[in-house]
Amino acid sequence: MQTASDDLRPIKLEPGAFFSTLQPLYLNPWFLAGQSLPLLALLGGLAFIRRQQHAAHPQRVRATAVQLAIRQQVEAMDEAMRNHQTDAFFVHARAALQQKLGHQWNMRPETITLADLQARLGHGIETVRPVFEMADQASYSDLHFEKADLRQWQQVVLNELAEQNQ
Amino acid sequence: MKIPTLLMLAGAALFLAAPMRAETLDDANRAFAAGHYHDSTVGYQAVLAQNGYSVPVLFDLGNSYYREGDATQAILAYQRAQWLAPNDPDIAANLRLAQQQAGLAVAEPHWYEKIGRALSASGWAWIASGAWTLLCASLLLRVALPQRRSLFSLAGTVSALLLLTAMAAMIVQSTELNRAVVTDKNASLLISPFPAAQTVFSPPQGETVAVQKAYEDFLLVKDSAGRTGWISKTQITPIIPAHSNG
Repeated sequence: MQTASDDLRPIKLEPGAFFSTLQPLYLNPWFLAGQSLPLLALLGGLAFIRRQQHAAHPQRVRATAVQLAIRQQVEAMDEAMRNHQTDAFFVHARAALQQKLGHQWNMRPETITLADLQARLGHGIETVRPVFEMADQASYSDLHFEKADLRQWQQVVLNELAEQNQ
Repeated sequence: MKIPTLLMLAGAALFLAAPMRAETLDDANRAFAAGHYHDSTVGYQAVLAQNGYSVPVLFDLGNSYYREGDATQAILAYQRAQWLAPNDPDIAANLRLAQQQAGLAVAEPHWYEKIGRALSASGWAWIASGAWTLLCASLLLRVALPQRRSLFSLAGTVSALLLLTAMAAMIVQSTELNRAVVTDKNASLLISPFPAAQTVFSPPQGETVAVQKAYEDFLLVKDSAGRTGWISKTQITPIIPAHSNG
């Protein structure tokens, strides 16, 4: 009769590989730290590719920077409107338009004046000029507009910016 | 009598007086083959202490304990071997024999445990690491080489699936990290972690339990039937020790 003991699988003669611990590899801090290497390589590679693409298309980089600057000025307009700062509102409104026009005309935005508008803009000057004039006026006198009026002015500026985009 | 001769005689006397101890795997195997199971057990233990854990040596140690009639220690050795090589049929067969010898019920693993045991925990960790590296490389190449976008999207999807599979397997296997074998013949599970506490039940020697919590010198464990109780740390031995060997 065969006993359970007889079914014992025989011993193995080769020692095989030795391990200093039975703890799984994923609990080893060095192994875990090593997993950050592919991620770092990915992020580094993406940053490199992005830089290469920017270098190949400088106009795209500049357009992105202009969009960012315009967004900041529009946010500043909102802030000025909330705080009833009419003068600041028009200064930021003009700055937003200057950013847009400066990009189109390849000029430094802050150097664009009413004279440039008259020289370069055709029929579009009728909507842009009042903003520049109000901003100039705000520099010399204490303007005060109601919030509803400022909202209308803001809409004019936003429409103009959108139109310039097309 | 000359000094070298005296030294030789002294050495010979020491050699003859000392018990035969297996120091290498071959010695231990020879002792096992000769039926000197205590010597082979000591030999396998020495090999493990000197070199660290090895699947074949743990397996042989289990066999040696089994032949000695110590089913509990055999179960512990087989469980350790099985942790490193979960797919080895010899280990599974001998573990089953040892459990039967100890009078324990042999539970069949769930289907997901069988899948998880296709590789060891460290094997799955390597698979996950490789898949993670491939996923990062695919994402990078997808951007770097837009003309091969579909190829790298496919590679990224495959590596993401592989990564998820490996992580699921590691999660399944991680439940085995806190298992221990009841090694004390008089082990008892108590209702609270104090020596004078009432006994809930006495687990059989060789039973595998899952450690859930620790409190001073006691551990809250759960057996295969789902019963829980506190047991003294000295009455069980973890299958995966926290410290290194060798």
